[in-house]
Amino acid sequence: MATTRTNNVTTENLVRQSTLHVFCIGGSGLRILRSLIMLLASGYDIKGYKIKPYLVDPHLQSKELSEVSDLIAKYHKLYYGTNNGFFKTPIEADINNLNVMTSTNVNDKSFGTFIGSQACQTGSPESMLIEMLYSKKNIETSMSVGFKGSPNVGSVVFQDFVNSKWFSSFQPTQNDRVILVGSLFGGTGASGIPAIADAIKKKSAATKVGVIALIPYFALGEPAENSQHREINSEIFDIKSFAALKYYADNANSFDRFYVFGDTEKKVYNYDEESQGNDAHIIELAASQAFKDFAEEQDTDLTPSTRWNQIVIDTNKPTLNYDDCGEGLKTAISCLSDFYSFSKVFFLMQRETFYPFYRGYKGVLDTEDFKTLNDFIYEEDPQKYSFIRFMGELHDNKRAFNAIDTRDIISPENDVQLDHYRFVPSARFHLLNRDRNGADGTRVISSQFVKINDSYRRSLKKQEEITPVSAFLNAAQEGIREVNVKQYTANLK
Amino acid sequence: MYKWFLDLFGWKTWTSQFSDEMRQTAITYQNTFNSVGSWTAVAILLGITILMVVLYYYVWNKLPGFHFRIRHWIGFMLISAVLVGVLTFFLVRVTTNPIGVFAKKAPFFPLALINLLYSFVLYIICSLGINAFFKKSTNASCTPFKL
Repeated sequence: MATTRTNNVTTENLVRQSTLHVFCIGGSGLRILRSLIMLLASGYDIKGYKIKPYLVDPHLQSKELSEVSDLIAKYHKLYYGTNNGFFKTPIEADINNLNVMTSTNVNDKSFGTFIGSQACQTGSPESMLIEMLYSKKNIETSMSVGFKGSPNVGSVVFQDFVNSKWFSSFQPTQNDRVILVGSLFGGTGASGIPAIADAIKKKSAATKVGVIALIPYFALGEPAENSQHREINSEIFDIKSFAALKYYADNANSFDRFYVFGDTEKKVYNYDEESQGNDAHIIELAASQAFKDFAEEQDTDLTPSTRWNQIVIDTNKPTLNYDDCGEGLKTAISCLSDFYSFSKVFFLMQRETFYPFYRGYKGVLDTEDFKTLNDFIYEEDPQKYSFIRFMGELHDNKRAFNAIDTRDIISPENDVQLDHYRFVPSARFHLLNRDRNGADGTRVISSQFVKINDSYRRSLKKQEEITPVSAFLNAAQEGIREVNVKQYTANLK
Repeated sequence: MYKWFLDLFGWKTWTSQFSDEMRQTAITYQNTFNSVGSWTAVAILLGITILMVVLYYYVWNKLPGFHFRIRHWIGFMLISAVLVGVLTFFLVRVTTNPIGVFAKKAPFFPLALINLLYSFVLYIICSLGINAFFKKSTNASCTPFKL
């Protein structure tokens, strides 16, 4: 059952007749969706489209899967679909059934059980074929944590997925578009993308299909010596990606646009199949730009000659400041810095007992919607994902994203007592970190307070049938935008 | 409006302290003080207090800063009262134009004091009025109270 919120249908929403179906395949797909959710929450808009995510991950107990599901559920509560403001792009999702992989029979079976290899007699042609195509490890290992970097396993399972009842009922309508997101160097994304793209094109040849593919941007360390799990070898990530790209280059009929993202700087994560949870990375943020690019492209512009795309950063520095990020990321950065400013205001204003905007909402700040907003921005629980954690991870990752001044976020890397990111908003801040002309001057958050209150005063004169949290977000975004746009303009001079 | 307070300082019998030949002039000055002086004081009270309220709610509050805090409101109220008191003390002297002996003995200080106190009251009333009727036009509609 889809649980789209329709508390306030606006003209803009009525125009959003088309859906961008997003298949997030495997861990990398989930991480890009996580970046997209953060951008959409920050007011980033994919015009004309509502987003419908499908999580495709056999690793049902994955931490990232539960974090992303939780984020979608929170976004869903906060989305209000006005023309302006944070959370304005609708995300339509079946909250209780986000992971469509449950429609297959994967569960925690081994691959051998899944394909019924036990039923083949030893020495039979079927048995020999299986032995030729799959290692003993492939056959015996449980698929409960995914395909462990083995696309040959995943490709069989995905055939089962595209024949499933769920997939049979999946039918994009006219003008809908489909985008598939995943990595080429793992198992799930590498095998899922071609299988699902082919199946969708067979179902509806007119549907435009895009692919966002990640090539290596992180590495895995050596597994512990006594570890039973050592199937994934990150040293061959590049080779696997190259082979996959070659395949796509030779079989380019199932998609209309292909975006590739990767990085030469790589953070090395501990080898942990059970709970691999990578930190947010600028590559995932950059990849999120592709959704907008693909969705806003005219059908006539999606031609074979424009099929391959790359988005690059301007400089090859280990830490990227505002000026290093390239023009393509500027819109995303301005949205994120707006929402970061808002996050500061939201937490600071609760101490300002005479602030009219605060008093105007004081009576409803403990309602569920506002608690959800609070949790979306910042949660101390390290098991939960939040915007502040996202910004902190972007900043601490390799390559580091340092375009926005996030000095209010205390990183666990800098404080051994912490096991999570801590948010300590102060009234002073820089908006952007720049290379040219030194740092953007120190400012006080009070300009935002004033402008938010101005827009709040204006909103009191309007009669809008929107929820309190919607009105709150609207006024806040309007005020913050007014101040920050001036600062961006000043910075560009 | 001021007479009751000035009477506490002997304003009713103020002329009796002068000699017979001066008394008529003193009565004339007392009348002038009561009319011109009072009107001057009222003008100062209204002009300065309302100006300060407007400055606080519509200028100061719209400048970047956390100017909605109660201490800023109190600060403007104190400045307003002191200004009213000081200006009353000096300007009433100018507008009533007393001769030397009257200038020394006329109740400028009590008048300034009561005007200062009135300024507090007027400042609070104007603030509440703005919060009650013009809250959609100010950034400090919750100072000192939300109405």
